Parts: sequence; C-alpha cells; structure tokens
Amino acid sequence: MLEIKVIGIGGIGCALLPFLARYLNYQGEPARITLIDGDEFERANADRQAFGTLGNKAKVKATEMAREFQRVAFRAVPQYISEANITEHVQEGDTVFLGVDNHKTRKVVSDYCEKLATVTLISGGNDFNDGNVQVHIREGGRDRTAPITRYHPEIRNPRDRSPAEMSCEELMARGSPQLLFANLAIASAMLNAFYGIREGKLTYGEVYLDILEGKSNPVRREGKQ
Amino acid sequence: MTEPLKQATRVRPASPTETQETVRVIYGVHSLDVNIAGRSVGEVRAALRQALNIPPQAVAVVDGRESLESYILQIGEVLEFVRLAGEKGSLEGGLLTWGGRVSGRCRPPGGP
Repeated sequence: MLEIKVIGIGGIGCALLPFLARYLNYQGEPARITLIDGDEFERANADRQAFGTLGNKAKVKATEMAREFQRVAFRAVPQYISEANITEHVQEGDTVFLGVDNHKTRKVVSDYCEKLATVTLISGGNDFNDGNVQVHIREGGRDRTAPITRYHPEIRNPRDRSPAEMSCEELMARGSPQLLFANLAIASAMLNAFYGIREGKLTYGEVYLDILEGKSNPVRREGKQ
Repeated sequence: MTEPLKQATRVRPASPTETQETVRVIYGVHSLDVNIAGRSVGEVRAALRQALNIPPQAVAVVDGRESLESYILQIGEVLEFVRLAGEKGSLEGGLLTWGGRVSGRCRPPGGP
C-alpha cells in the first residue's frame, strides 16, 4: 500500500489534499493518506482554507476526504509533529508531504527521514508571493537527492520553535500576511514533484517559485556530497 | 525585487558563444549569465548582495557542491546562492491581513 503522510493541514495542506486524493483515488493502487496536525480550523481560516466544520484540522479534512474519495483510506492524527512522536507517524517507505510554517518541525522531520532507509520527503513553504519546494529521496539507505537541511542552515539550525513548544500567548502573537495563491502554487509544485518521482522522471531536488514574476527555477540537489 | 535586477533577469539569453565564457549565477528564481570568471565567490556575493538581497547565511554552491568564499570561479561553472526556505504555508490569517492565531489547545474548554 502506498503510505502517504501529510504534515500540516493549513494553507498548503488544504490546497494539496483534494488533488492528491483525487489522483490516488483513480490510480488503482491501494493508498492511505494520514493527515497530521494539532491545530484547529477556525472561522478566520475560511479565506484561505476549505473546511466544512470547525474542529481539529486533521480530523475535519480526513472526514471530508474520506466522504469524497472512497478508494483511498484516510487517517487523522490530531497532534503536532515533534521529536517525541515522529517515530509513531513516519515510517520506512513513506512519502511525506510537509507543509508547515516553521523550520524546527522541518528539521525534526528531515533528521528522522535521514535515519530511514527508504523515504520520500517533499517539503514546501512560501513567503508572501514566492516560495520553494525541496525533495529528499532516500532509497536503500542512500540519498538520491540532498536532505532538506544540507544547503539550508536556517533549517539545520532553526531559530524558531514548533507550535507544540509554544505557549498560548506565543501562538496568538504569531501571524503574518499570507496569500492563498502562493499556497496554491507551492502545493501544486509539491504535487508536480510527487508525480515526477512516481514517473521516475524527477530532475531536480529543489524548485523556487515566484507568482508575481511568473517564474520557477528548478535546481539539482545531488545526494552525494 | 529591485528594478535593476528585474532588468538583469529579463535580458536575452546569452548566445552559445557568450555562455561558454560566462558563469551562471542563480538565486531563487533568478538566473544570470555573467562574465565573472576569475572572481572569488566572496567577491560575487559582495557585488550582488544588494541587488539580489542575498542574506549572509545563504550557502554558496558551485556546480552542486558547497563552496568556500575564496573559491575562484571558472568559465562554465554554475554558482548558486541558496535562497532561504519559505517560512509559511500553514499559518492562518487573512488574504491580505495580519492574522493572529489561536491553537485549539489554548481555547477555554467547551469553546468552538
């Protein structure tokens, strides 16, 4: 069974999920998508995120996806990913879509993926009108593309913290302008990378996008150092 | 992005002859073919820092390998200053507003 983990059900995760689920629903290969997020949908999210009910993001979206795409199995994990729980939720052979807003969680996931023999990590993030997608592929204990920390010291040595580590006051103080079109562009690029990997034709390890410039720039990230 | 940089990245592609004599410099979506062979990575970083807004911690990579600032660039090489990863994607907030957020675990019991 194709095991897919989607970590972060926010602007990127919500944009990515329906297309990923629809693609898998009609591929014929058994697949399960596990949605992982400790956060809750609130009314204020509705301008960038699609949801039918309030509540935990992973649970709400898993329920909605399961209703629409019945050939794919869905599971919800209503937790933030951290060093304490990642071993439970990411396993050998997984494909991980990582759409989070902090480098600390990226590092936790990347470091753990480096310990696995076979895993695919597709990590996307955006600023206001631009962003990037990184792809780390490990097969048989070897990196086919570079880990997402290798050329990114901001992820390797994060100065931020994961939501699981923040106080309520810190969570409330967070926030910055977001553009749903940027979320959509990054989600689309993550799915493009996934398709490229499935077809054995992915030629890059990182791609940059700028929606105002109308540009994307794929770059190689060799696994070997 | 600065106007000079917009112009620089919109110039016509270098001809095959020109490309053979240049170094390609990449930063994010931007890619330029420039005559900087013989210059060090550090010199190029200093020259482009302002135009490209390259942060000091951006890693320099030459032909796929992390490079020292003292490395002297050769014709035909590709120098990339690795743009920092996007930091958002799951934050809440308005389409064009500054949005505060409240985690579910911070709400009073029984709240929506």
